[in-house]
Amino acid sequence: MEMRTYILRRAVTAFAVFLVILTINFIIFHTIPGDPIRTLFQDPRISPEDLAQLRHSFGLDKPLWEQYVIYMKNSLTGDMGRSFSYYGDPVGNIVKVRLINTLILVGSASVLALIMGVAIGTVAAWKRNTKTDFSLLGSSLFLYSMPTFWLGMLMLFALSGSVPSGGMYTPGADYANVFDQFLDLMHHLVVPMTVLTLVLFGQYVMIMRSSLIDVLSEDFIVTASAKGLTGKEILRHHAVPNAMLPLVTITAINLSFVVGGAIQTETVFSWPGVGRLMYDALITRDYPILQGSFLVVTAVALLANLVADVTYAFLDPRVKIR
Amino acid sequence: MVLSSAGFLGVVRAADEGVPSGGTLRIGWLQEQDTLNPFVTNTVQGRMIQKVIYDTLLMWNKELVPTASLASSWTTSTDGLEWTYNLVHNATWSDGQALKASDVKFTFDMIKTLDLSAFKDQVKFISNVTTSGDYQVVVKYSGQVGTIASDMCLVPILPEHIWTGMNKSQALAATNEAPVGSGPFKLTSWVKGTSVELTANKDYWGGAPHVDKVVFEFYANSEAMINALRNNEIDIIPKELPPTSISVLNQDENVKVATNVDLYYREISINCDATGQGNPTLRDVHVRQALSMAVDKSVLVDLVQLGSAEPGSTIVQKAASAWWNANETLWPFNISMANDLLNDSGYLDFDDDGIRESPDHATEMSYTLLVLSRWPEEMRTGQQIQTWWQQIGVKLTVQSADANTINSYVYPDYKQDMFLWGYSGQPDPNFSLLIMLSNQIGDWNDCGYANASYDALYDQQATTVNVEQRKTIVNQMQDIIYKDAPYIVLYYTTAKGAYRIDKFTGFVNMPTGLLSDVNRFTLREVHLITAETPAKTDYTPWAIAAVGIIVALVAIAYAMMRRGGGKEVNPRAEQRPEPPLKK
Repeated sequence: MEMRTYILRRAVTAFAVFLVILTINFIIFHTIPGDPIRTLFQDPRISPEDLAQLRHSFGLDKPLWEQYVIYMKNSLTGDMGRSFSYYGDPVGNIVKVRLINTLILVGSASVLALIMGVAIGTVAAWKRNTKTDFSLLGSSLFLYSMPTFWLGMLMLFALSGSVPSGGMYTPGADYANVFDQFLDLMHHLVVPMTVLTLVLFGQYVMIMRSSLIDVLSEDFIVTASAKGLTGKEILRHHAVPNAMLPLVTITAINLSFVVGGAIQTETVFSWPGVGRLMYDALITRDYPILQGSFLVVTAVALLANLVADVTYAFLDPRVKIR
Repeated sequence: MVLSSAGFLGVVRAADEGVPSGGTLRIGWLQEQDTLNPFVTNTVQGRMIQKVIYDTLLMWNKELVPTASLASSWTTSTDGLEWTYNLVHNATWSDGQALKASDVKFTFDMIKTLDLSAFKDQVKFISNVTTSGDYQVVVKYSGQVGTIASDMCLVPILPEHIWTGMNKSQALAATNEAPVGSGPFKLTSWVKGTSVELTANKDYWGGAPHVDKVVFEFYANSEAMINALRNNEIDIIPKELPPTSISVLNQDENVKVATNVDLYYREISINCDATGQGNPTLRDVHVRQALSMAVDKSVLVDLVQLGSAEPGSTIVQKAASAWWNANETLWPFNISMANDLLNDSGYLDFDDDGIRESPDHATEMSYTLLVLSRWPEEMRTGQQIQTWWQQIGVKLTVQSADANTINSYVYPDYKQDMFLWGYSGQPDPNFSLLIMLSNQIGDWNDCGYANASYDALYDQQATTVNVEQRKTIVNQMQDIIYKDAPYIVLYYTTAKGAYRIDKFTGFVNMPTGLLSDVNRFTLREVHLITAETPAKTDYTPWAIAAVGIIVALVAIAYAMMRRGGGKEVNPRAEQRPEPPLKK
């Protein structure tokens, strides 16, 4: 009963935040200098009448408040408008494809980074202040602080010839079947995924390590030890599950950040993801695309945080609902 | 008077007999087309795709002279007002319907009636189009026009049965995702942000292209694209090579670098708009001349373009060699001459701060140059010019901005001082000259230059049919702009492309590069060196590697956790004194 109210309250808060962010999105994109129609049709052979016509067809001739009302209504009903630059394509379709592409890359890398982070962080904490700890932590930090584009370029050149230089699929390939296409995707995915994993897992290591060290110094660990449990049992059944709690939050925060922020990896490897879509849209002042992709990234962020909150409540009895 | 006869394309095809056909030509590019709608496309890439999907009545040949295309021959009446085009008989649309004279008439009528700006200038003087049978079109003009042949190289002939019945906003809003054309290729897919695929039109009236498919692969950065060429992932980079990559590619024995003059220049556009909000001293022609003298273009060519460009002079691109004014007397780079000119014109450093002021002491000669942020190399141009102009008592601030920001400075109020920009042109100079017309202020004219006698010369050249007479006028116009210096044309760039020589041959390197909105010859003539059944790429090893890496990482992670736990508890780990880390 209590849990249900908790979830409901969390959801309502998330929705309210969502509305505020929607509004901020609208304001931000309309204060950027530059007329989108001018940008789109830089060809001045287009007469003023044609420009007016185009402005009208995109609804840009309406007063700002009316554009805002339409925007809010459409956003909430899932209609994100039509792209300025891809001549009238629905934003939803464009963003959907790009989001899936990004999730393939970011999702696989995040899961790998999380697994590696937890494993290495655990070992480092368990053997803290030993050579193992220093070398694991040191190399994690080293990779974590490595600029993504630089690591990406290095990998690209180092492996050049054996992996594709960019894209998700081989241009012009005819696939015999879906499995072939999957293999081609894997071929293209392996390097960007590895790069993203390498730069991501460092922070998980650090958080896991310090969190576990904290937990290991708690009284219940001493109690467990006094009960005669072995180190392995203490670690697996008492320490690690508790220590992983902060990772739930950090994963949720990261996921939303990475979805929009994989732009460096996407640029180095010409991966057609949502980060590059946003960048291109910013250059061309494609408001609907920008708003649409920000909307999606925002939704992912809020959803991930909501899930984290709820998961927390289930995992940690101390989070109680007052 | 017969101006041309059939045969140009026929000759080409005959020579090509017996070459192996098949294969997919893979092209790397850094920017994809904006749209497939010929009435709104505004990118070189878009126009290039249009040119292989659609045909035009005439087309520029490899020397940039208009020749036969869909019209196998044409004649003009003695007064020059009536042009008769004889169409090829075997042209079909990609949906199987026959291409007829009525389609040509429809295309011109549609552009004229709907007033579609993309090709408005090309049909402006057409008074009426009639057909005679299925293969003859007669176009009547209301007056003498000097640009008809090149106009006919620009207007794509569209199928009436697809475009009929559209009003203006429908025509402008059409996505044209599955274009029906008569050209040598059909568009088979466009995955936005990724790739464009064209398939050869095997029934093309001018003879089928040799390759089966052409794929444009989009790269988000040039390093990866160059890497892809060297690793045989793509076959050609048409024209977007950075100058720094050329020496590397020259060392690759499988790659040939191909450069050629391009129909493009970069310039500094100086705001001389009389009602604009730029620094008013720039409206003085002497100031602009002095600034122009104090720019050493050959240094910029070496420094910024690493030698792969030519110093700029007039506003007609040098690649349009028939029209470019080669005799333009150029000002030498001369700081003291520039200083003298400013001294004589009364611009002196009245307050002794090292920067000159206007004769009325009111305005300092301190300017801001906006440089397009996606051309980082041009920041060096700005910095170099800064040091030159410092020597003539002019302070320059160089600022990077994106295209939108620059646009919002220029339009509609002309608030900028000056900005660095570039223009691509056509083989005919008409468009390049149009930029400076006073009625283009607010449109193409981004510097606010206005000169009534220049405007009059423009109309005169546009209606002069005799080529030599027109050249004289065009030269005169280039001279006026050079001397009035609203633009400091920095350099004519080079189209820098490269292709692999181990698989395909028949690449056509002509002015504008290996592939452009003027050069569709490469796509038609390129062919495999030896007929081959392309080996199917085997993805398996790398896919196994990808899966392997995932499994291995998970396994290592699992093993480490087990081992970590499995060992005796590290005695130090049991000690409690280590203070808990605060978060």
